[in-house]
Amino acid sequence: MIFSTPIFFYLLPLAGLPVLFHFFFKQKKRRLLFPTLMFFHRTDPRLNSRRKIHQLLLLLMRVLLIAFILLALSRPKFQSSVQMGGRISVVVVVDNSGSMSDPAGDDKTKLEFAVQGAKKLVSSLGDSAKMNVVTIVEDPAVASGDSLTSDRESLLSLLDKIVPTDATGNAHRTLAKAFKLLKSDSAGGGVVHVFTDLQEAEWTDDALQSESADESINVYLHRIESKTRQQANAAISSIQFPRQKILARHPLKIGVVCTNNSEATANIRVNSIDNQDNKSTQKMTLEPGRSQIVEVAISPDTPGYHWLKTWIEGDGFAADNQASTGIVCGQTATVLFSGSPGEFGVLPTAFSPDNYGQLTGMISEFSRSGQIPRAQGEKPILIVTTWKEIGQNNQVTSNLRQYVEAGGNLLLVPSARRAGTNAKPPAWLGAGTKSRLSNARGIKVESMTKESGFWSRIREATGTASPENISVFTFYPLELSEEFTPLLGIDFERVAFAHRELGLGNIYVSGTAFDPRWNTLPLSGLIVVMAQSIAVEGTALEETMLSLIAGESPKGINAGGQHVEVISLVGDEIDFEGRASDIPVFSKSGVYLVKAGSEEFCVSVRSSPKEGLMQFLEGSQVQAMEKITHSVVDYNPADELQKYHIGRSRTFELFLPLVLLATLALFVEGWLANPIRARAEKTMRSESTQPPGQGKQPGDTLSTSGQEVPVGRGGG
Amino acid sequence: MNESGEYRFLPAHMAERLRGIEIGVRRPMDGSNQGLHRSPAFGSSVEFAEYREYMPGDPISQIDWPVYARSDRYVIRRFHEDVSIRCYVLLDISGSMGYKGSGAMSKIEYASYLAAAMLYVMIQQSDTSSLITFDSQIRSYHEPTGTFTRLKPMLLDLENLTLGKAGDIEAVLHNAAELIKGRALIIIISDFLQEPEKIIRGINHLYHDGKDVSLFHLMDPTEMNMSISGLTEVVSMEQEGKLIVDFGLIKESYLKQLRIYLDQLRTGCQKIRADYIFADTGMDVYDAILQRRKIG
Repeated sequence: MIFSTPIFFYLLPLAGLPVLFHFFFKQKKRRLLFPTLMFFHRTDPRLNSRRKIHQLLLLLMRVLLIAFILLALSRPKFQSSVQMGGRISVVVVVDNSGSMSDPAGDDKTKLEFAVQGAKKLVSSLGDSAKMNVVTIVEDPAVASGDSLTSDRESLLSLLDKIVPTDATGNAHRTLAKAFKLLKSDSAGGGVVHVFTDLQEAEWTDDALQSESADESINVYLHRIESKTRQQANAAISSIQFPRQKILARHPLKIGVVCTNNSEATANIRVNSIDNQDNKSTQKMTLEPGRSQIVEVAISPDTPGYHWLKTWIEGDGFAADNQASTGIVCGQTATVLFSGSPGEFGVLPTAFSPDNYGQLTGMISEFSRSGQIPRAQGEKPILIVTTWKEIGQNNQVTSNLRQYVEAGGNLLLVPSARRAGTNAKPPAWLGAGTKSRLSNARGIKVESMTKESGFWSRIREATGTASPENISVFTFYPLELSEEFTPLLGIDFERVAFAHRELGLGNIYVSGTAFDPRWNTLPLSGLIVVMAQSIAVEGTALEETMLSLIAGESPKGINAGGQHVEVISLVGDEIDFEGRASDIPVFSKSGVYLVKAGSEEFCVSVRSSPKEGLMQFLEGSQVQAMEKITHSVVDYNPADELQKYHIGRSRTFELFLPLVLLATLALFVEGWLANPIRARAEKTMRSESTQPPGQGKQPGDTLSTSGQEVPVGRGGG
Repeated sequence: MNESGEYRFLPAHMAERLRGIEIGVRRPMDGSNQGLHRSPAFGSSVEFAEYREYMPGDPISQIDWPVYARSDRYVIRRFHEDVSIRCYVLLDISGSMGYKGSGAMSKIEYASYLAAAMLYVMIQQSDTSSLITFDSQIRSYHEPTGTFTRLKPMLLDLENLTLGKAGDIEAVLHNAAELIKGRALIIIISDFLQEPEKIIRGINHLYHDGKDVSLFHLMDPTEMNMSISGLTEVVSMEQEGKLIVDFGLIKESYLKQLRIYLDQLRTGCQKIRADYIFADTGMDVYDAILQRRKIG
């Protein structure tokens, strides 16, 4: 209850004046001797009680009249405040982002303070208050429904379930959800309490500027102070997947990018463990502001899902130290040769020595050029064809282009059996062959553009990027467009082997066949390394492999209306089964398998590197929330949070009702002390005093003994 | 009696006004002396009553000789006998009679004036009168007298009355019926604050004993009009007890009960041929007596 002019409220005791008057100026009872009580006893015995009730009612009405007038003059407003158990709508937002796991004092983390404040607020709200709890980082364990509730116990239970995450929260989405909850309540309006550290990562989001709320909603941001961190902080800022396709028994090196985002030198250890229980630890020193890639090897030996968990130890903040990487290791890959085995020399063997895929994970298949379109469905890892083949059929070349642009690899070689390239290659290829050159003793070729990725992989595999003693006996110097990178040749005019990217795929063109009659490559081990490198080139990230930062929702999962299921491969278990659009954000590092009908997606989640940044908003306003009525207040555990509801909860002007009540009291008082009744009594009196028998009439006089004596009513 | 020798309740000017007033009775009365009132016996008045056959022993002088001349029969002419009567004034001296409201005097004073007047008038018309006071029982009794000399003690007694306590009119009337033998005029002066049925029973006893009964019912104007207002603690003048009454609230009901009571009393008197005269203490005493004279 709020009084606009409380002076009148303080005068409320004056309402007791009628009672005082009643007692102090009470009509003194006269004592009267009367001949008999006979007639009084014959009257209604309730009259005396009625008189007392009448007097009490009259007194009550007078007290009420004064009280109502004084209350009305004090202009009270009834406020459905917390203390009064009034109806108020409150949404409590708890910042459970990674930064909240930092200590804030008293051996408590900021999140513990936030939860404590939220619980205090929820506990203090009245029974009729409607409320709900929302976390800045969506947490399936803290799902609180789509409407406000009065079930305080369940909300307190929810608050107990809030745990630290590795994620950056989405303040825009959270506030939008809070406003939606308030608007869904029939009362409308309300208060949003946000317990947060106001880290810039969340509260400078441009999307916040688009969020607005009407004036009936007020937002209080309870800033939980962040302590200055003394230790250095390193974070896993990104994961670099190898630029190659993943095949069983093909070792991979995953780059873990560690960044020191503090102002102290970080001496850290980067630990890893994979699903085959291979563990590794690498020590490193990171200067402030510097990043460094740590390569962690993983060697999946079987097809299927594999994961690698990496984390940093030895720094001052843990919530940005986690990264989990999931990889999908496909079944045996196919290298499709468009032509007969004799045309490709030793290449089929170089790809698959046993042709069962046991050694390299690849098998070689041969088909005619007319079957190349089928390859798009089967997705061979590499298509090998001849210059002659590619120029013969436009439809085939068109399909090949689509295949390459979609991520496929194409190797174009001269037929080892048939001389001449004959047909003109398609223009999209950007390469052609010149006249054939032959030298019986062979011409030594050298590696070209050694900084290219191709030679980097060769160097990783063999330790050198300079093939020695490789000679060509016969070859077609290549005519290359600018997109091509020469890799092997006599000189730049006589290039024998080159590479270019087209779309997502790669095209390798060779002017010499991989046959001992054409060159000495098949006689060296380099042919195998080169062949494997060409085959697996590409990106390890396929459409079914998603990489996320904690706090993000997976995108690109189209379940076609079917329910999806989330299975945890490593990391906190997420128990979710529902629509694809409802998949919660992944709040912690881990690898999750999302099953959507017949499709499966491998989601790798790493902690958000932003959470370790010591950048927090100052001041009493959040600039990005300019369209929202809000206040930033420093959180104090000892504060009573109800004060923030004053003026925000619904108020009712009581002036008019009180004036009406005063009028009613006046009418009742007037009726009880009724002049109409008095007149009626007067009339009755005059009627009742008629003489009971004959005799003189009222007013008659009788002269007797020289004096006039009024004659009463005689009878007889 | 005051210094000038006047009786308080029968002052000279009152006695002067009462001279010539006669009080009659409805019923034949017994009496040994010649008087103004018809007796059930035949006597020597001038008023012819009947003829009776001469019987041996009757005085010859009583034979109506003109009738004998006309009818050759001896008949005796008989006349009514007029006798004086005894009048008993029963004066209520119960506590309630001391009430004085807005009237000119208290009820007992008024009653005393009335009693003195009645005693005087009766003696003046050659009847005998007696004063009896009572409350719940007969308190004093004066033998009937027909002389003014013997009236004096009664008048003096009236001046020295002491009010009694609660009255019981019915009981007193039964006692009076036993006490007073023969036919007589009974004048009861009282406020009759008792249930009408009881009062009527007492009067009935007197009536059946051959008494001619007259009631002077006295009330103070305040009792009749209830011209009192406000909250009042009412204390009974006779019984133990008191009530807190707001006369403003109770008035209507009180007056209604009073009307019922008066109607019952008056109707009861009419049934048994008792004379009922209502007088409030604001009324002139002479006027009240005139009311009784008219009836007589």
